[in-house]
Amino acid sequence: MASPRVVILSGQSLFTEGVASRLREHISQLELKVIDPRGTGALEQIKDYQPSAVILDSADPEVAEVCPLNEILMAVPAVKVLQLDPRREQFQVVTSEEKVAGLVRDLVDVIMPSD
Amino acid sequence: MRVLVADDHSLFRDGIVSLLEAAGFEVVGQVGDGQSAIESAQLLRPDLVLMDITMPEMNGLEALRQIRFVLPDTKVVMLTVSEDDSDLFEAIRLGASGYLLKSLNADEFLEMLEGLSHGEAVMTRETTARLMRGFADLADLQETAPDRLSPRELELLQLVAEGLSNKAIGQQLSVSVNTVKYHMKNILQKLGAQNRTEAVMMAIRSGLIKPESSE
Repeated sequence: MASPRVVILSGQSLFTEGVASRLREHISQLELKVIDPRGTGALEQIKDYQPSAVILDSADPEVAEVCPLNEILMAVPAVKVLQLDPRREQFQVVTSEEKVAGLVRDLVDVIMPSD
Repeated sequence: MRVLVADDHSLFRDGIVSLLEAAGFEVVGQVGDGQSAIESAQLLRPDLVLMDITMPEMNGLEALRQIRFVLPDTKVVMLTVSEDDSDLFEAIRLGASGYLLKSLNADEFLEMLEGLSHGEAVMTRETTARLMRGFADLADLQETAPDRLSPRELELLQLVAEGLSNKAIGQQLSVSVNTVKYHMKNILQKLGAQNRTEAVMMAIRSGLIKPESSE
């Protein structure tokens, strides 16, 4: 199994580094990059890193401003985005798929539940 | 160093514990409210309590006060998102050994905690500067304000600090709302404050009034 490659996107350094530290304890082969949305080119860094998951601090307004969810998904279509709200201690997982839409049938295939 | 971590955000707490353990600190306990912090501190006798301010049941400042009373040798460092000067001054007044913001990076955070064992205050330069500015304001105010504010004005300002409206203050002091407003206007003018909140803050810092009723 390939090593999970994770980006944590948050401006709260201590929180982020704490979560990163704990993740490393649980996932030995983890490749992890912490990106501060206040830094330059956060979205570009995500695009270059091609993570399998992005953990973002949904309570941090800078995150939504600098790296909107749709732009992350456009940059890395197969990524899992974990929108973490530290205050509510909940997270929402957002995934996406990119497909060819040559025919209406392609849409139907996605809309209809598979057998 | 044996550390107790008190923070109501369990995910943050978990991360801090991980950082501390990786740096060689012994985390003896972790709790999510002020009351539990006091109980655990008494039971576990840590060298250091890392204490959030905003917590359920009992806030971190009150827990700090009680821990300092029952365990005077235990150091308490506030670890908070609050950049409010009143929280900073109150924490230091109550005997906190430091005041750190959660926006700090991990290396700086751990380095500062190491300094604690050498008797250093745990505070960033920015926070120290805020504290010094506060003391300068305080000294300035203490020199002049007691002479300038009448006992009646101090009494009124104390009631403002306790959250009473002009109407309620008027009822308590048996004066009209207009009289309360008149006194308030004089207080603002004498203290050079822009509004009643600023006047209250200045008076608390100078020790002219208490943050809340002692009753």
